[in-house]
Amino acid sequence: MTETVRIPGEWHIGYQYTIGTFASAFFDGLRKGEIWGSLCEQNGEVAVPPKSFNEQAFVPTDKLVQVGLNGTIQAVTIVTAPFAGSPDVPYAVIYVKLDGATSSIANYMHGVDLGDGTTLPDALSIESPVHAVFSPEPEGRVTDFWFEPGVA
Amino acid sequence: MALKIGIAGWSLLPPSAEIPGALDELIYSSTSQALVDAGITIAEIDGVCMASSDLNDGRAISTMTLTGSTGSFHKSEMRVCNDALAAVWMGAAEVGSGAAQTLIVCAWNKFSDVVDPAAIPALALEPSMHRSLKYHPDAILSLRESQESGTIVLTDAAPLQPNDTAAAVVITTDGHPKAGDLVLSGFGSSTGPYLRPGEPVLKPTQSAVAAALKFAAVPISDVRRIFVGGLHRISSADIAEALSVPESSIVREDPQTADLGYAAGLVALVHALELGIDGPTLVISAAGLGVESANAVLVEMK
Repeated sequence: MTETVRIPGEWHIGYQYTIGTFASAFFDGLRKGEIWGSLCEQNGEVAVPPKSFNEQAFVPTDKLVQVGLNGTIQAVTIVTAPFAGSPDVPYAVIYVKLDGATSSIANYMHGVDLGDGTTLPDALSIESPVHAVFSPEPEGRVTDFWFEPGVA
Repeated sequence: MALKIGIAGWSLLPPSAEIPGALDELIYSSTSQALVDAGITIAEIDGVCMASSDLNDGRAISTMTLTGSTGSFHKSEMRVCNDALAAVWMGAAEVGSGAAQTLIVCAWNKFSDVVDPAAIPALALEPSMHRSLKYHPDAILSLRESQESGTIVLTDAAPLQPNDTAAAVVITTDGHPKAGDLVLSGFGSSTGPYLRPGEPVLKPTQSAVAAALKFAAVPISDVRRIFVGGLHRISSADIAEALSVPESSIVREDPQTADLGYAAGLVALVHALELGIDGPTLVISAAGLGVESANAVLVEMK
């Protein structure tokens, strides 16, 4: 019986994603230690990161607004399963509603002992206060900041 | 069989080498303008049918990251990995069955975000044999033509310029107060078996057209114009002959803007609507290697 043969192959397509002026403003803000959102004047929603239109009202949102660096946890997960390219496990990813925002933004939670990842520390409870901490050398990427427990 | 689906409004970002803005902004620009054109609010939309390619968009399940822009936020969302005319008749089926009253059908391409768009078509080739040979994907069509004609067929057409575009059409029940004067009345696709060697390469297109005309009970002799999306390697004369219509009734996209990916059929439909419908008008598209996946819709005045 002939053994099954595997033919090597590769699938690599490069992209240069256009992110638009609103998202560009968001990443520019990160370089300065600021977080920006977009205000929909029709329904009052402040989306972070900002979008040039409001998904709910389906109208343009032509106003950028700076939001606070303090916020509260809206959702949390502790990742104990390694994934290609991910940080060393365990690590925590949280959704945070920043002061002045109506939506949540995801990022890593640092400054909390996750132990073996099976016990949820009090600092990671829903509605716990957190604040954004910026890298000393921001590059205009979402990884320029992370969250730590408490109010700044 | 009679089913008439109202066309309430439409919008098109004309094909261009690069349309500035993020992909979701292109889509939103088109869908929101189609709603304005229809005089319909987002609250009246039940869902969205769309045609998109994860490979072209550089996203896995691209529609999941583009929901806000298509108008399907917290609404029904259905996608085809096929030309956008398939999304049109999917939407028509949803409206016709009563599952929805008003839908957006949309499609897009932002090839300008792809570093090397020419690398994408080759990925459609079977990986262990055809892709390893590194020949032009259009050669598949030439091989089919060669089998049909028994002659040598050249594959000498230059690759088309990939284009950015976004198109949207708002469809609704025929009796809807915003339905307008135009209806989709015929729907067809090449759902038969794959071509056997030697069968006409335009057989799927013929099947799709025949099904759409049968559905609408309209003879081909009554069709005023046929707008063609895709099929860039097939001449208008050959299409006309295959469909038994005069070549003068065939309307092609600008050859320089013909590579519109899955959006080709919807762009052709919007072009037909923009030029004005003065009688039964077919819109056809065919995609895939060997243009085996064909779709057709018929547009009529009420």
